[in-house]
Amino acid sequence: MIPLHGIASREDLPLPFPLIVAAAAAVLVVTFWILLFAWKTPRFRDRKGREMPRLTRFIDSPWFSRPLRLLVGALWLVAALALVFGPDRVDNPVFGFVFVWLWVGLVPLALLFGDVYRRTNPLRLLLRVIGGTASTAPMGRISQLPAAVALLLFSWYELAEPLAATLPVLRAAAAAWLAFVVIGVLATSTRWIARADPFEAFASTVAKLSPWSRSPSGTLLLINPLRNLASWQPPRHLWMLGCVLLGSTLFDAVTGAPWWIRAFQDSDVSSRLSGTLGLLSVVAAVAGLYLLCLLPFRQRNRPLLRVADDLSPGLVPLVAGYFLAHYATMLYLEGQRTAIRMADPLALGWNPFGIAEAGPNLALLTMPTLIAITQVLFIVVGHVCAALVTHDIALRELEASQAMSRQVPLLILMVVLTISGMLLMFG
Amino acid sequence: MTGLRRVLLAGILAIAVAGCSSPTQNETTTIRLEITDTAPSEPREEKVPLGNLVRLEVSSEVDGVLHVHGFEEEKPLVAGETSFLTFAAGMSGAFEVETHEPDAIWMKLIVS
Repeated sequence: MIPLHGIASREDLPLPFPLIVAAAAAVLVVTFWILLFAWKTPRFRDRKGREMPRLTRFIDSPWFSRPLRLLVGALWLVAALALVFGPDRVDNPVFGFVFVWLWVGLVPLALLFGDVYRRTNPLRLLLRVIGGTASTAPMGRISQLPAAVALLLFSWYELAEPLAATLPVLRAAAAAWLAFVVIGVLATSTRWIARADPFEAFASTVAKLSPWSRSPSGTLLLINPLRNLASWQPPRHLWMLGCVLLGSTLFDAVTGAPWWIRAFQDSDVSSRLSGTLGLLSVVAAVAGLYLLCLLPFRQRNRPLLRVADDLSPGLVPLVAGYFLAHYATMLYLEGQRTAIRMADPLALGWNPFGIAEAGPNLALLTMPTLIAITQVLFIVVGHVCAALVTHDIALRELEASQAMSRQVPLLILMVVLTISGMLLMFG
Repeated sequence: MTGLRRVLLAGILAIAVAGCSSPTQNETTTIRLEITDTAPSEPREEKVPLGNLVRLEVSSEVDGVLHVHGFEEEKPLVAGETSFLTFAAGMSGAFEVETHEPDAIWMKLIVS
């Protein structure tokens, strides 16, 4: 049987309204408390933390990094086998691998363990002979525009392409991704991977909100995640990447709302067209509003797009919070199902670990109140971190008194995005 | 810092306790569903208490397959006959009940 549906089989219950009201009130109070009473001189400008030399030696030793790379490479290989030779059904593990493990899983992975994805990126292993796995120099201010475009295309594929969960279409998408990265590397240099591979760019960006960083000499630092993010010299066009991720996650919530389903389940407009226009307009609206709210930060030697880059790290916690709030339960449920299916990638009846008969553990999903509170906490904590990082960065170029009033539009936008994100989940 | 940690820990514990409302009852919720050859403009919503058994009684005008998302339950439908599908609503959430050919979402099960 071919369920023609995407990979998400379960939606979370709508958030209870009193919880949203309480969270919205907390968001308002905390945001303006930060604006009025938090520190008045930048605090997180310098990258400093506890140096971990022994951990660094262990993590960087071939005894650790090679098996890790090979292990992750082997998982990708299983997924690739399922992609090429597996059956065209939604229980083919490659769908769960791409849309759950890879797309959703990379956020918690990066938040907890830092820049793991870059060190285990299968494309780097593939391009090893031309230096794909060599430790890269710091990114500097190179452009993330290719990755932002690739992420927009991936979001479009996931959210607006009705046949996304069919094998021929996924094969074409995977081939396009592979060609985009490999041809780019061959035409430029291996730095292209960091700028253009959507998954690595996304993971590396989120990893800046992890407690892990590196000192200039390469030693691992255990660092306050806010300092880690705020002391980051972001690559150019990171704000576009942030707006794409924020907009597409919001759009995913929109398509789950009853009024959207009512409008389009029976309409004459094809779901591909309505999805494409919907996604593009939400992303464009987020980007437009973001730029609009940055206008007060413009100075003679600081054009708008430069301001957008400078303040873009503040978008990262919003993205991470939204992402976790929307997809954590999906990662829990479908992640387990994917693990079970990965044991038999070609649907030949393999049962290597005796898990073929196992069902997913549902314990967490029997606690709807806990889920709702956790979702709201993800969004609120993401918002607070975003406001703190934005505040800290805003203080750098401006006098404290100027910085306060000029931040107001941006903070209001963040409040609006956060509360509308929660209202969309209220449904 | 330890004070902050203690507050955080207490908060997490409070949430965990609040979240542990135990699903105990195992009663059966029976839901009747009629499948026609035209999709409804809006799927109807049915509430099911968490932990109950759900018994779907599906009378269909068309051949096809009924699919309950999330629980991954499937039932072949034969035109003119009534089919029965029973499963335990062991997780909370909203789940679509749909058919393939005609592709349509007929119902949303709200398990809470």
